[in-house]
Amino acid sequence: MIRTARSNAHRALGLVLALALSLAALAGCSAPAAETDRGSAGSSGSANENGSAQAQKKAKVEEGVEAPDFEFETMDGQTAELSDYRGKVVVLTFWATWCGYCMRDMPELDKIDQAFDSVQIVAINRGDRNADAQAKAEELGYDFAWGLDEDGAIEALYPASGIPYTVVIDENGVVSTVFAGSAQDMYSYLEMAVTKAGA
Amino acid sequence: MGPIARFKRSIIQLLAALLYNLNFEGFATGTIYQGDTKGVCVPGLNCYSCPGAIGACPIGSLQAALVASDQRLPLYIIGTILAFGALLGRTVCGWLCPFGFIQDLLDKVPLPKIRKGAWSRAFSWGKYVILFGLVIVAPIVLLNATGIGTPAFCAYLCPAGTLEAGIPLVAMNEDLRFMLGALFDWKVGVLVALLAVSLFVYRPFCRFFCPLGALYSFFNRFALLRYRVDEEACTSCGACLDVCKVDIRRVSDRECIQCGACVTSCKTSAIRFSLRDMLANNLHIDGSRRDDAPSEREEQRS
Amino acid sequence: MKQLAKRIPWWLVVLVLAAILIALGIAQGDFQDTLRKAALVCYECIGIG
Repeated sequence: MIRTARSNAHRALGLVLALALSLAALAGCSAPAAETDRGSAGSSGSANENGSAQAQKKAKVEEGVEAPDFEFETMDGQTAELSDYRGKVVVLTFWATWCGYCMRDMPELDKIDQAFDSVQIVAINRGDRNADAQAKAEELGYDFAWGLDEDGAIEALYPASGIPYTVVIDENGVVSTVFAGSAQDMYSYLEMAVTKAGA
Repeated sequence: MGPIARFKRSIIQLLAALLYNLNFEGFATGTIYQGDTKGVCVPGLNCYSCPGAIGACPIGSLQAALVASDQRLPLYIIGTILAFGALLGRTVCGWLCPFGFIQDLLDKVPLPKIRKGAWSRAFSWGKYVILFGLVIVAPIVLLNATGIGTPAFCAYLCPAGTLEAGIPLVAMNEDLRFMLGALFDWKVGVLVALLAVSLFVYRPFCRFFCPLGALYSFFNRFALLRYRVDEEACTSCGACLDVCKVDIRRVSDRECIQCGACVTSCKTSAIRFSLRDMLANNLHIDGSRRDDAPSEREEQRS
Repeated sequence: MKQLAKRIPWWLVVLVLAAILIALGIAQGDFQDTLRKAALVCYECIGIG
């Protein structure tokens, strides 16, 4: 038999390691859970703590709730606020350059923008480096209110598991429809939503 | 492998699946984990859109990097995959992959099994076709053609993604259902087909389709932690090849998933796990036999 | 010394190379990229559609 001297000691070590790993895994449940509370507020680790704490006290973004106002950096370094567009129906959409459905949505959003005078598209990037977002916005060339969210403060106010994430807001700043994701015939969904919001 | 050893491997597979998916809260709320550990890849195929996942999938991350608009070489992901390969090779497949574990469980169902043959050896090339075609080439071609790079393997094939992420997310989030169409139907179909086939064929996804297994297979002959054949003790009887359920030509070649089923088939105990051998002082860390390890004749005497 | 060189196993060589690539990757921002993409569900990417 191949020499397995000290094999009893090694078996004991193996058992201890397995137990330790199991305990660590179980104890680890609380760690990620605690982090998720932070994480579910939307920030991916870089957002300010205040934003997260406030987000937890704020109401969930859903129909009938006032859409949280925020300041955003435009593509050319200026700042604007969501409330600047009060009086119009705002289609607030969160997108990334690597998200296929987000890119599929872009021409549909432009069609809506052209079809309805009182609609304003606010397209905030989520999940890209600023340079990539800016390049894509320029390439697309649509007349949207493009925005960046580098510190994740806006993400904390509008948390979502995925993108595209679109919130249709009426002229009084109240959330009218929320879309998680995008369907093939997104134009018809958007049309229904903006009409419902009063466009 | 003796029954106790097989049980140990199942325990480790289960622990690995749990460890990759510690975000139990995600399953309760239908959301995903967004903390910092998501920047670290787990070794096995575990979709990062799974509500429970706390880490990233190596193939998913590789695809995401390849479709990025700046088309930079994803050094971090490549380095991670190289590290897992160098340390573990396809030991990941046999011990640390949740989807591999699920196929192992389905294999235990007592139904007639279709044994390996020339057909399965041919199909085993499939995973390299998928690695090259769907994971690497398709996203780059699509990116250059349409401006959007779709991660083709994840989007059109990966059953782990459908099982761990697609279905749970859709089940728990009513407002996602308006999106469902032909693509989702196709992916569910692929998943169901693979799970059904797994009842009759051993680990069909791992052997014929998995691009991660294909990547790790290149490291299988020299990874640190793997099964090794003691060439001095081996009599070339081929018992290990007969007992093996996948299409190896030698133990620990590219097809070997390091499950250890061959160990007890060897009459001269020539097949041993490298870690155990190193700890028992039979091998140096580079795999060469120690001069003071007992020779085969001595062993047979004792 | 020559014996040491003979003894250096392939897995160690690859592991060192991997460590270098990982370090370079983190330096060019890959960790943040991976984190961002893994922390957001891209619905097309998981076949919901």
